[in-house]
Amino acid sequence: MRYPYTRLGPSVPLRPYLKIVLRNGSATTPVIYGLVDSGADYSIFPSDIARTYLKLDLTTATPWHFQGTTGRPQIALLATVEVNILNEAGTANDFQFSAQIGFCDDFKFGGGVLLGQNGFMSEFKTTFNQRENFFEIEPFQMSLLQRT
Amino acid sequence: MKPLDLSLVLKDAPAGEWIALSFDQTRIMGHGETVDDAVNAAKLAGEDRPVLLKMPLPNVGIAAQTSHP
Repeated sequence: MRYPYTRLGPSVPLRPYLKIVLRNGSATTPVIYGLVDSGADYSIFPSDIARTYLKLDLTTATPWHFQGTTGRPQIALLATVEVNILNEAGTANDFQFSAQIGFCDDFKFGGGVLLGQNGFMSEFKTTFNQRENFFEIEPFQMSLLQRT
Repeated sequence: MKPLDLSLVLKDAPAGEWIALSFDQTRIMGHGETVDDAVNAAKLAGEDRPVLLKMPLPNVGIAAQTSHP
């Protein structure tokens, strides 16, 4: 499946975003633009998304220690949720799968939320074509991924 | 492929804040320091299905590597 790069401002470069929705049972997030980032070990979201929208209890979640470009150690709590990747118009699911996501209290990354190696690139062969302003994702295991 | 260009829609978006767009992504319906702030502002403005993004700072690049320390 092919997706266009997205420009958020005249002085902001084109970047590879996907529109996604996370679900935990009947609890769901709004549609969120997630930045595809091969440098992130896990997908990372702010913790308030887990608590407010997904109704997740993170008290027993596995902590994941990580550091960004500042080198400052941070902690995210890993929880398994359903990830829905929406079509370009944001009106229907292209893919749906289960993944471990890191939820972090002090994650204030300028690009918003990240779709990283574990839980995203572990599920899709991801190919960037920056010159032609698109990227493609192809599921490794069709049986685990549904287009609904 | 033609890129998705939200520049015009986001021209007045506060940099560094979460932005809640209308579901058709043609208008800013709310914004704030947190996702919740943006969503609540959008709901007050009548948008029950906002689309969220974080507005980057202008002329500031990002380096998004995160890994085990």
